[in-house]
Amino acid sequence: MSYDIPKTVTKIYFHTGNVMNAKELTQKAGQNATQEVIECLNIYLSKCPSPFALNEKIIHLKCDEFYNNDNEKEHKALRTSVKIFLTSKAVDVLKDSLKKLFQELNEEVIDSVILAFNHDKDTLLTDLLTLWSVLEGYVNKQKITRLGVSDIDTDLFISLYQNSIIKPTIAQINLNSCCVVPEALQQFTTNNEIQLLAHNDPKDILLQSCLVDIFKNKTELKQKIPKLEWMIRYLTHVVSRAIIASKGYIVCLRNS
Amino acid sequence: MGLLTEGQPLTWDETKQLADHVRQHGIIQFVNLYHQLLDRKGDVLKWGDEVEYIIVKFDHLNKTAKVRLCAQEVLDQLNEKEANDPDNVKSLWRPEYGAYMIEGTPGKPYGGLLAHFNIVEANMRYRREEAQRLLGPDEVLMTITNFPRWFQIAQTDITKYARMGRICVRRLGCPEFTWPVDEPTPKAGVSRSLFIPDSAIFNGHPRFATLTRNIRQRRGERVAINIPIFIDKNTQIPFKEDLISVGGDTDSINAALPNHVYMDAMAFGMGCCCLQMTFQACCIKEARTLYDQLTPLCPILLALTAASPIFRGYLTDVDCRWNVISCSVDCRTRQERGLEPLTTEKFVIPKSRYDSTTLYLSSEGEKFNDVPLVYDEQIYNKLKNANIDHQMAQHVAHLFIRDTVSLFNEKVHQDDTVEMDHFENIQSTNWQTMRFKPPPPKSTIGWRVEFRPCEVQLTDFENAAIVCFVVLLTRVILSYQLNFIIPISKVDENMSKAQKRSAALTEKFWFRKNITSAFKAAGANTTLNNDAVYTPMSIDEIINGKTGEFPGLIPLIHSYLSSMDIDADTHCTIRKYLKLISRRASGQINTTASWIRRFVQEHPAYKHDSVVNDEINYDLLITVDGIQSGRISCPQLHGDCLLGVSKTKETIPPALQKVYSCTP
Repeated sequence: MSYDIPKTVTKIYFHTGNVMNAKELTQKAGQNATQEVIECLNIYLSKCPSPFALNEKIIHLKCDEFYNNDNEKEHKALRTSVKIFLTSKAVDVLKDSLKKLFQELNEEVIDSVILAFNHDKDTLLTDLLTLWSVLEGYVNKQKITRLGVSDIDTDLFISLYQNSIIKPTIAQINLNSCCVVPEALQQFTTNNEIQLLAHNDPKDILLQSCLVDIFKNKTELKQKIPKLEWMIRYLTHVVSRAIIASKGYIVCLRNS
Repeated sequence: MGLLTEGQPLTWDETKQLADHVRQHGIIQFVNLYHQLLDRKGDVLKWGDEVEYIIVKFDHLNKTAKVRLCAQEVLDQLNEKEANDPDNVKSLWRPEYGAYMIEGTPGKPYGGLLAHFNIVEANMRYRREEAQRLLGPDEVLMTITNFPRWFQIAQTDITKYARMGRICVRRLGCPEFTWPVDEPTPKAGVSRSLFIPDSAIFNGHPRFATLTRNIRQRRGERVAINIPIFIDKNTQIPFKEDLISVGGDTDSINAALPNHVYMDAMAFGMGCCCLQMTFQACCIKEARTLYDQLTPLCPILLALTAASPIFRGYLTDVDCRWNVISCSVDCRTRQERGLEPLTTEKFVIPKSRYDSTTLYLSSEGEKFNDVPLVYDEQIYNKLKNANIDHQMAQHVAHLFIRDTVSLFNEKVHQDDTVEMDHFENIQSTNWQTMRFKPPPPKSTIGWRVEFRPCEVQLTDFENAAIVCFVVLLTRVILSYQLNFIIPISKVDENMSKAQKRSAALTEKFWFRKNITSAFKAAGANTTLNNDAVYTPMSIDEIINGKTGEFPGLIPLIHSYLSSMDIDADTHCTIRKYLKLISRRASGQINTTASWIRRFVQEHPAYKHDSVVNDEINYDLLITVDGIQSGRISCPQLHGDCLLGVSKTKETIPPALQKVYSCTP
């Protein structure tokens, strides 16, 4: 039975659940974040979820079979880190993602949040600081412990460090193709005891062309393919045992 | 190589009398400990590696290389450091079987951070340099699995000097391969080997000589190791050595098979070096899971780390040490080996004390235990009555079919509520591919699993790569709840395949098809011999994957790593390690064994007669020294993963220590 997401929808939240339980994904080992999210969306859309009410504007999609976390026993030893991929500098978008994050994860405290947003030479420190202050608010409320940024120009990172109240303690860089860390960044992070972490996430985390592929067979949506607004990846680790307890993605698509 | 108890060793006759005493008390000790620690939970990941080294002495003038019998002097100095500052030394050193061997481990176990993977190689380098500093000018510490040129009977010398009488021939036919030079004593001493003098056995502790004597006496004859010779175009066929010329008796002549390299002493096996690692599990259940999940990986890692194609001066048709060690400590009597009807012995025992594991311990593994298990029923019943589950009771009752082969006067009578020596006595002389280790009494250490099949590689870079690969696999197995279990009979088949020449490239191994069929979901309709469970795969397919069919261990590790918060330097280092392993598996670069084999076959002094002469031995070891120290680059062995360029560090960076509140 095929079904359709009604075209009245303006916002789709998609939560993969714990993909560590997704055998399909494990079988295709070595995929990056983009490939995993696409895989999850396709798996989800190929199945038949509960029907949508007509005229619904905001819908939540969840891969139910990937839930069932058996983590409670070890709860004390768990630590969750999050990466937020933004497609715009709009503060509301970041706020929406954080609100959803805490709703979906049902966690009291997130250990670390890393911010990733595509930027260029003209990105102003003020734009970054505006976003940063939203995150600082969560740190002040003790909802988030540590903050970081991903793939940021070294000078901008240093300015952020110097101008922020809650300092970034994580700098994440893409090292998939080589092992060369910019010298200035290396020095600055070492001197200030900042964690320099590696990732292999694609620069464009979910291109529109991927979404076209995913939704082109949905009669109601194919005229107006939704766009990525933000995406979150969360990782819950068993501290001191180097084990992944859960991993999932939350994606927000907008159809305006 | 296991427990080192201090004291006065008993004679074999005395030891034999006490065999049941040790067994009975060993079981009581295990039961007590098991119930005390069964519920121990929440242990963090701690792990460590063990690297074994040999000391080689070069004579550059005469172009020879010998094993240097100086382990005791070197250990005395290394252990003094530990005695003076036990909490802060960066390495720990222990004796090994050979008087030319030492074993080094990190001073403290590594912990559960990924950054720990980045200090392994630096610590190995530190160990190597630390011990090397204590050696003489022409002496070198080496991580080579087997010293290639033990005693070899020189064919030409024998004909030439035949007239001069047996004694004289023996001296002339015996190349000097130890320093100080010594002669074998086939009719006296603990080994009674035609080839190896007892002075090659570490004599700083009585355990090693005692084991050697007791194994030989229990067996009723010298141990016999026959490894097929590699038949090259000029190899003398049938290949048969003149054992009489070196003092051989009827026993040795009967034991030596044609077209095989015959060896007759424990030193040929226990004198080999291996690379081992031990992991602490969070609880007994996880330890049993890891034990089972790593068991099918043992032959795979053995083939991948193969490093010993030469034995006693001949190129052989095998690449690994495993069967050599297995035979070198085979204490089974003729009855136990099934050669004579059982009259005085209790069991026919299919395997040596040194062999592959025969029993899975987890509930997922239970139905894959398809090899008939020899175990002591009385002991099994005792354990069952003490409320120990069927599989664990079988496991211990299986270990306890063995007699003690080394007992010390001071340790005969023990307090079974606090001591574990009798249990450890039997446990530590069951040298299997995996070892399930209960926590030591009154310690902070938890349930552990030891991974024992790997051969040691020539460089710290390679050894660190292997160690990190295996430890990462344990994390991947637990994170993704992978299941590698296949019938244990198929693992045994893989063990014999793994040792064949070029097995990593040419053999196909039984491997589980669907490794994501979860532990619990092993449905009732999947039977043991169902072809759906396992299929033949090459090492390349197992390690690197096969599109659409099998994900591959390295892609799984990459998935895992991209889901961890990993620091940039550790990430780079691990990538280099994985690249090395991936290329070894695909055959782009050589295994250590293939490289050594090729070195011999391309050497101008090699006459294609399977003989590795003094000159080849010298050049090989000089080259190995050049490679391990980084003076010689060896793309055949390392590809472009150049040595000395990993970002390995001595300590965990402060930024990480701060976040995870740990010590370096």
